[in-house]
Amino acid sequence: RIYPLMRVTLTTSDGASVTVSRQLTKHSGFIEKAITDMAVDDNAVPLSAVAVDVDDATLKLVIEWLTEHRDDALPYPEKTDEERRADDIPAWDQAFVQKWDTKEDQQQTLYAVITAADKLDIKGLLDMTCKTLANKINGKTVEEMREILQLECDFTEEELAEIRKENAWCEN
Amino acid sequence: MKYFHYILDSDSDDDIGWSKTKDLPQSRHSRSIRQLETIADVNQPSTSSAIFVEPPAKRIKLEQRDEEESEEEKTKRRRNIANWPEDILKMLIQYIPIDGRIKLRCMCRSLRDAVDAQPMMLNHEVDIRRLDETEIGLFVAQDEKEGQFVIANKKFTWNERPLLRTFREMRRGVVEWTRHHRNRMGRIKTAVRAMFKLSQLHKITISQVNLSNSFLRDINRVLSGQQIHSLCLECQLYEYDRPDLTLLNNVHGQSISIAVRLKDREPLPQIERFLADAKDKFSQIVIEVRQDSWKFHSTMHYRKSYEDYGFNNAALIKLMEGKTLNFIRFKFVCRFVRKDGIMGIIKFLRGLRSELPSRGFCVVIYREEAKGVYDSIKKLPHFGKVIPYTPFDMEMPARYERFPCHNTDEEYLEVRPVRQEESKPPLSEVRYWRKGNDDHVPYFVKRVDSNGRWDPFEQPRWKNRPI
Repeated sequence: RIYPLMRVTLTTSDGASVTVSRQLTKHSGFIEKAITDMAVDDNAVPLSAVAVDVDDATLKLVIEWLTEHRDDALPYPEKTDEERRADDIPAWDQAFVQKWDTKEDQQQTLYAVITAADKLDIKGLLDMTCKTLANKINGKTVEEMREILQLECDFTEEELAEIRKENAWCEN
Repeated sequence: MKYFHYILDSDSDDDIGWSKTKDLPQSRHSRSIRQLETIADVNQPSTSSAIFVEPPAKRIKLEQRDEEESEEEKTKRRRNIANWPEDILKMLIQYIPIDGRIKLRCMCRSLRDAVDAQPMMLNHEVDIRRLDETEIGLFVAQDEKEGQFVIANKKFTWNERPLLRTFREMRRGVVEWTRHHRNRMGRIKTAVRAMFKLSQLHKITISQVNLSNSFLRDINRVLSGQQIHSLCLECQLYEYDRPDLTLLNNVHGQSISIAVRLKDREPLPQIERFLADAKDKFSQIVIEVRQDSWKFHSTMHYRKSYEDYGFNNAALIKLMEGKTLNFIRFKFVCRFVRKDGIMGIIKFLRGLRSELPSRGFCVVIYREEAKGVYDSIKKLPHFGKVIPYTPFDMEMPARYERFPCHNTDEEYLEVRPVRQEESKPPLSEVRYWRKGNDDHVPYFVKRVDSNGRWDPFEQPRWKNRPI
């Protein structure tokens, strides 16, 4: 049973500690597992053990999202391929992501939140951030995609020629 | 996590003597230390010297393989998509349509592997199952019946064969039909009129008719003002028929399906004129074009095909801009269709889809008709793992033998319920059937194809047709 008044202290990789309500952390599979299985004392969970990328700034964003979605139903509903849509992001979540546009490296912030959501096992946040990233690259050309994703091609020339040959019949 | 591995901090480990592979949780250790502190008297120097000083907090550090990388470089590399775990990539790819996934294959190895790990995307056998109105799928039907399934979007079962009695009851009180009378059109018109005596009529399918202006006019007259949602016409167009399809523009309906069988190579501009108005009137248009003599030649541009039967690319794009039209499906049944021609059609439709993403398209080819294409398409890369395919159960049940109506020249009107929402009143679908061949009809030749096989879609041809 989860007591809403219980507090959990999360320690990030850069040494910062944040204390949050247990009601928020119930959405994180990792934190719940740490509290129940690892028998941590005083409900102090060192995130640096697993979620190495979760720094202080990222954790604050995650907690902000968890605060808004604290009343969401659990477990997170699994969707089939037909039900999966990228354009059904709630308005609050859209505004939440758009706030990062003012930051210097918005893309890196998005990546940090995605990896943090994956490490902390927060399915709702991971789903939403993946939709956001998918919306960014949908309809873009290969070059634009590469620029958005900041990816370097690790194929050899022969491999690239082979892939282009495979893709040729279904590309526009 | 594959670039990192866990090690324990060597400073604290040596002092405590913990195992590097099997460490105890920090909290339990701290608790034991605190208990020792409370038991012992701190004021005594011997005791105080014996008390263990609480070791520094046991830290778990992540050591990187490349020691010389700075902290910024580490973070940058960790946040590179190529280094993401497969679960995140899988989640991301699920929200990207097929076009995007194909582009992602050229990005990097991890993305290519992640895309290829998804179920088949352009699979001729699987894709039809998940084909929605915003996806393009290439479907090679097993036979004509399965092709019908695609068009009608429902499975055809032999159990739905209408009973003979149904039509006899329907036509009671109507002028007695002459079985071998050459005026088939008159009988169809009678049947159409009989159909509209039914109040709960939803859909009409008229199969295998020679479309003429008088028939179109009659349909128009009968259908106007009725609550017909859907009209299906299977017709063939001869040169001497010259039907004016614009007569159908006054029909009130939502969906129209016209199966056109061309007998001549000349264009049919009335189809274009008809569609020009129909695009603002009907929400669904299904067009089937059969042309036996025409070839999808590899060197011939695919656009030639549209122009051959009456409308070109510009007309097709204009058709897509219709106010009410949200679904269009073309079915090409060409015996000599080649791979390049099909690829051209797919590319063209994909281009249309990028401009108008809410419209649905589907290309259907019959495997029997285009076996070579089927084989070559099977060899194309489909970018995904294979999902076992369960074919439709198309076996005829034994009870079919009790109704050997395919050997007769009877005609049927079938009334069957249409599955729809419960809030609406029950609807029925009336289908006009004409079964059998015309061997015994004077002036008709057998309905066989060039190989001597009976072709159910081949219409009887006049031999020494009387004027």
